[in-house]
Amino acid sequence: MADEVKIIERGPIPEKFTLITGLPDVGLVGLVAASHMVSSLKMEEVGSVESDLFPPMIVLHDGIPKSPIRLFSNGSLVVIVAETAIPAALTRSLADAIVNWAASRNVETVISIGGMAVQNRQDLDVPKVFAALSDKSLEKRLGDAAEVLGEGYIVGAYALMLRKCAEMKLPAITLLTQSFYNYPDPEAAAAALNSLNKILGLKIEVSDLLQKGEEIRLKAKDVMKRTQTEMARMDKSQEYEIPALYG
Amino acid sequence: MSHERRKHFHEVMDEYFKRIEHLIEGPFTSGWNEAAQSIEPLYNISVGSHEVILTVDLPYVDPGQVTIKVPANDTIEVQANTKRKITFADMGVRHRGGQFKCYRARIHMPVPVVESGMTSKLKRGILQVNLPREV
Repeated sequence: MADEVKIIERGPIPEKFTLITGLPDVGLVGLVAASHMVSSLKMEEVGSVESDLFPPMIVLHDGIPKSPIRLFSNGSLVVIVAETAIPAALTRSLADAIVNWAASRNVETVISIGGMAVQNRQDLDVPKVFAALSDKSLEKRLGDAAEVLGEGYIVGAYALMLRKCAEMKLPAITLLTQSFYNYPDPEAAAAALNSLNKILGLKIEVSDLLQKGEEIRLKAKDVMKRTQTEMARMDKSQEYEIPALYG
Repeated sequence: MSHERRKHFHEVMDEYFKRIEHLIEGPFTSGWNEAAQSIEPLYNISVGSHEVILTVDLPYVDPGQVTIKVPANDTIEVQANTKRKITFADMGVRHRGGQFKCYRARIHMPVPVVESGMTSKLKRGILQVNLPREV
């Protein structure tokens, strides 16, 4: 199954690096945040994620054909951004491929950026960021950058990645920011980046992201619609249920 | 019970016709209607015990130019003009013409609603419409 999806390297990968993943999910928080990160830090394209099972498509940027899921790097950071919805049936293969590749390339930490839908999002001026950790020892590193998520369900690629990382003793943090469910949410992406700045000591400026909020929401409308279909297929709504067991 | 069965059948038929429309219209179903210069917005429906909450994502909307109609107890129509004309070129797409000056959506309600008592607000470019459920 894992071989269904492959990471193809086309440029230098740092010897040690932090991997950031921005996959389309609730509010497209990860996609928007990771895209902003790539442009802000002027990251170079270093690879792509390929599969014969992905829809037969490319994306054109400046007239150049690209894979819709690509890897970018700058310094000790590698970012994976997917600018198309991930078919629900390939979620497990994609998660396995990313974690296996990261482990084989000596990754230090895997940080995934996603959204956590809340009903009162319209009334929140600053969305709160939560973090699910692969290991309790990461709490110290997290500091006050995000609140640790103690109980709950996570559904989708990030859930599988976090579990696999925990099993492989690979440090992983999944940042989940309060967001709209099926509307692109640049404000939530900005909050996630502010949290990431604290964790990694970065200085990614988010004012530009906030200023372009309306433009981003409109441009991302179609990807959001397709992502919503895939989220329904993987029963994403289960994230809002309460786990039955305790202790 | 018969009421629930009727709605279920209606929803099935609605889905069926949407699929037919998709097949007929082919690629031009992404929600950018160049002929009508309108955009189909993203929306979400939440059904509560007493009311239905509809939200509609309307970036670039002119707050004073939003119209909500309830032509039937199972249908809401939203039209909202944008603050300025939006073109594909604004979004970096040069090979497609067309400009857009409004959002239009005709939204099927999963349960019957009544117009009286309807309230709405626009915040963060998102329209929220609260509609009492029909008793």
